Amino acid sequence: MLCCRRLALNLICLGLLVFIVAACLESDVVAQLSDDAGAREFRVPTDSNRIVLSLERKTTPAELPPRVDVYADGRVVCHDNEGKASGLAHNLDFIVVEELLRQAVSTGLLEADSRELARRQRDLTREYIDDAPIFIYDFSVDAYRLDGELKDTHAHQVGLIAPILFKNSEAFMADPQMRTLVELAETLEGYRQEASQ
Amino acid sequence: MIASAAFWLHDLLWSGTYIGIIVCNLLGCEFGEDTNGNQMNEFAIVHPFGYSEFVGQIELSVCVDSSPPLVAPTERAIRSWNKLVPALFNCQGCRTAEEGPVPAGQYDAYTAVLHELGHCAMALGHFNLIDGTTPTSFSNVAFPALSDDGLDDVRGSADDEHFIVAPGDPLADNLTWFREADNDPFILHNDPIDSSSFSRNVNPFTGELPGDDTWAANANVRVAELLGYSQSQGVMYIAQFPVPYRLGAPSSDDVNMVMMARSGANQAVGGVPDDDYSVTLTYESDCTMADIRVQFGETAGAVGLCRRGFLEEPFMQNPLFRTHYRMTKNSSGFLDVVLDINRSWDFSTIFADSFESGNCGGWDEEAQ
Repeated sequence: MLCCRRLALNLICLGLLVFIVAACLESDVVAQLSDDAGAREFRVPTDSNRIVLSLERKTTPAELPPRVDVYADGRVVCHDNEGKASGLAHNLDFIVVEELLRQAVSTGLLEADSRELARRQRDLTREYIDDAPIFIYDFSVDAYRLDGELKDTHAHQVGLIAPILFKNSEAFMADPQMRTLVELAETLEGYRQEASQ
Repeated sequence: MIASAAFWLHDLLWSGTYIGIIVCNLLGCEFGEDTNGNQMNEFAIVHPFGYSEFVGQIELSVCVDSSPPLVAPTERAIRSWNKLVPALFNCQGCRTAEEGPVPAGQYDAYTAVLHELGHCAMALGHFNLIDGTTPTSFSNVAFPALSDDGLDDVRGSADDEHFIVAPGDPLADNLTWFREADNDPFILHNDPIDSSSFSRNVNPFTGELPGDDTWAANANVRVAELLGYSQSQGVMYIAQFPVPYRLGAPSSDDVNMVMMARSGANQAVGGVPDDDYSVTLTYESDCTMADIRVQFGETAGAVGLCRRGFLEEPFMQNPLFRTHYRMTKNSSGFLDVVLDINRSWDFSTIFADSFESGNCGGWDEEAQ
């Protein structure tokens, strides 16, 4: 009898544990952004296999993995030329994931006409760089609200000439969105460098 | 529902031809704007800084900024582009991405300056891209789904087919010039290098490719081997994964592309009116007087860069058929060649191995 009660108790505890874990997995990362365009809120489910932000270089030095992915659960994974995971660079806290996404959103990468960002880079720099790496920003946000209105899932891919190369351009860095883009690229480039060591 | 938008930018500066920045999304591509904000097309042709319709002679000065070790490699690269003597056996260590991990080593400063001056001074682009955007034609690793490398299994060869999205889709536009007689980028013929002997049209019905060829052969090292040449590659080949190879003189393909541009707006050597031109590079010790600066700097991981301004129309053209553009200087007032300051560099100017083995083909033309 005692054995049965203990078994039942264990089953209850196990069920409770499963419930708690499931609840945790379903809870979302929520981040707020408020800027000239108004208040925004975006939410990232903590689905462990969901890539929320990645940076890929179309041309990259051989010694560096070409792609670094940030997963919703905080993993930062680099991928080799054939798309295979080549190293775990980090396990980020949710708050860092939130910050990266906040940065990404504040750049305007998720705006309806994401071409505008490319045009602005072009207009601000007024130059082109042959042989420069092209950075492909690729990220998804499961729910994205603008001015309180719930939008559908967004998955965007945006390519830009390596923004870091324009860091010395006063006009470029005076633009808040471009400056944030540089910071974001530097962070992700840092992860890539660490993964290669 | 997934809402998606995709676009990317890429250099379309082409061999003897041009372009600037391409913006693509699911609806298609825009090929960038010129300095007047006009949209450009992918078949535009770019000319060096200083070009105008009847300029005849263009002189561009090149300096080395605060990097004395770069002087000798830069002077050698200047000589190479001035002589325009094509060479075979011009590449040590050339390799394609499918050959696996890259051996560690120093990067050759002369090779990097030569390539970047190909952009900044000669207005050349890369010859191994399709639609000016996707480097499918240099490697069996990159973008394999976008091309069929044919029976020879060599990417970039004459029996390739390159597609816009996937096999079965329309063929991608070929933007590099090929010789109609033989489609061999490693041979420099005596016939005029202009539109009477070169074409970009690979259309199976209206194009000028010889025999059963389906694509303009690229001057990459594997295609060279296929055609019976060893250790040969075009200077303006873009390596997806930079490798520390060493180049000698430009290849025939590089020279052909330069000469195509110099046949002028009418694309005819000695045509009427005669708008052919030439370009002479000189070394200038005072950078305040130079058009092109060579220096070390940050490159975001690239081996080297050419920083330039947007392209501008050199003369009035039909708005519906704008074709010719010239390079402009960047916001600093220069055309800047930048080598990666974070790499280890070899500044020697000896094309060592082939010279020692008695094969001087890629070495002796310009290393005087």
